[in-house]
Amino acid sequence: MSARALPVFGITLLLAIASSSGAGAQANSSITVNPAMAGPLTISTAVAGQEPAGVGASGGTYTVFIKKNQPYSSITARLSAPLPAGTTLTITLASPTGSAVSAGPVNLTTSAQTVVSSIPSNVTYSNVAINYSFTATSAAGVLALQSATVTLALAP
Amino acid sequence: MNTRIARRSALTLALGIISLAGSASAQTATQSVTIAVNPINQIAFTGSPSLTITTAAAGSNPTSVNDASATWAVTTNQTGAKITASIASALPAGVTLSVDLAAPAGGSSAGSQPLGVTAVDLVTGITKLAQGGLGVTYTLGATAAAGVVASTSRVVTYTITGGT
Repeated sequence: MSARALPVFGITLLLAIASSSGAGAQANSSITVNPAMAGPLTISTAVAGQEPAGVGASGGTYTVFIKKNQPYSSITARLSAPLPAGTTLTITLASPTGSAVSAGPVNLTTSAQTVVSSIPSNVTYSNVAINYSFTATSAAGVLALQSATVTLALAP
Repeated sequence: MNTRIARRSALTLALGIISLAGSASAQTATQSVTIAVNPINQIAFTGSPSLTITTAAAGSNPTSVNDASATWAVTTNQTGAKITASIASALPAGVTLSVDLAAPAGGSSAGSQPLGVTAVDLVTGITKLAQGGLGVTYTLGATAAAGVVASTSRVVTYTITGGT
C-alpha cells in the first residue's frame, strides 16, 4: 500500500466503524421512556379514620438496550428533588423478558435505587411497562398540582 | 501536506464522526410525574343507639339515660375543621336528645350538646389527622310534662366543615 493510499484506507475503515455504531438506537447502550410526562396522580379520598387512599397510574413504557461489553446491567431510578413531607412516590418497572429482574415497587428518593437488574446485553427490550403509585398522609395536608422529575439511568 | 500530517488529519476526522455517532443515544432518561393532594374531609359513625326512659325518683323528673355504644372516626388533611350535628325534625316537647363526641388528638370537644334542627358545634380544631374509635355518648332526657312518648327515631346528621 502506498503512503498516499494509507489515509484514504484509514478514513474508509473508520467511517465504516462510525456507520456501524450509528445504526439506529442500538448504537450504544440507551434507555428511553415514553411519554415524557406521567400522571396526574391525585389523591382525593379517604375512609374516615384512615389515611388518604393512595392512587396509581401507568407511567407509560421504557425501552432499554445494553451494548455488549459496556458496563451496564441494571436500571436505577431517583428523584431530582425530595417530595413534600408525608408523601411517597413509588415506581415499578416491569421486568423485560429474559433473565432481567424487577425490584418491584421502589419508593423513590433523591438517591439512585435499582429498579431492574440482570438485563441481558445486545437485546433491545421495547415498551416495557412503568407504573407509579402515590400516597400521602393526612399530615401532608393539601398539595397543589406539582411535578416530580424521575430519572432512570443505566448502571452497573 | 506530507504523508504523516495527512494520516493524522484522517484519524482526527474519523474519530470525530465516531464521537458524534455515539452521542445519539443516552444512558439516562427522565420523566415528569404530576402529583396533587386535594382537600379531604371524611367522617363516619357506627352504631344505632336506642334509649328508653323508664324510671324516675319520686319527686324528680324521669331519670335520663345514656348510650355510649356508638363510635366515630375522622380523616382530614386540612386545618381547623369542626364537627356539627343536627336532627331533621324537632323532638316532642319536653324531650331532649343530647350528644357528646370525644375529641380526636388536638381537637376540642364542646361536651354534651342538645340536638335540634339547627346545627350545633360538637368538636372544633381538628387538624390533619386520621383517627377512629372515638366515643359518642347520647343522652335522652324528658320532663314529666312530656308524658308518655311512643317510640320514635331521629337521624342525626354530622357534618365536617371549616377546614382550611
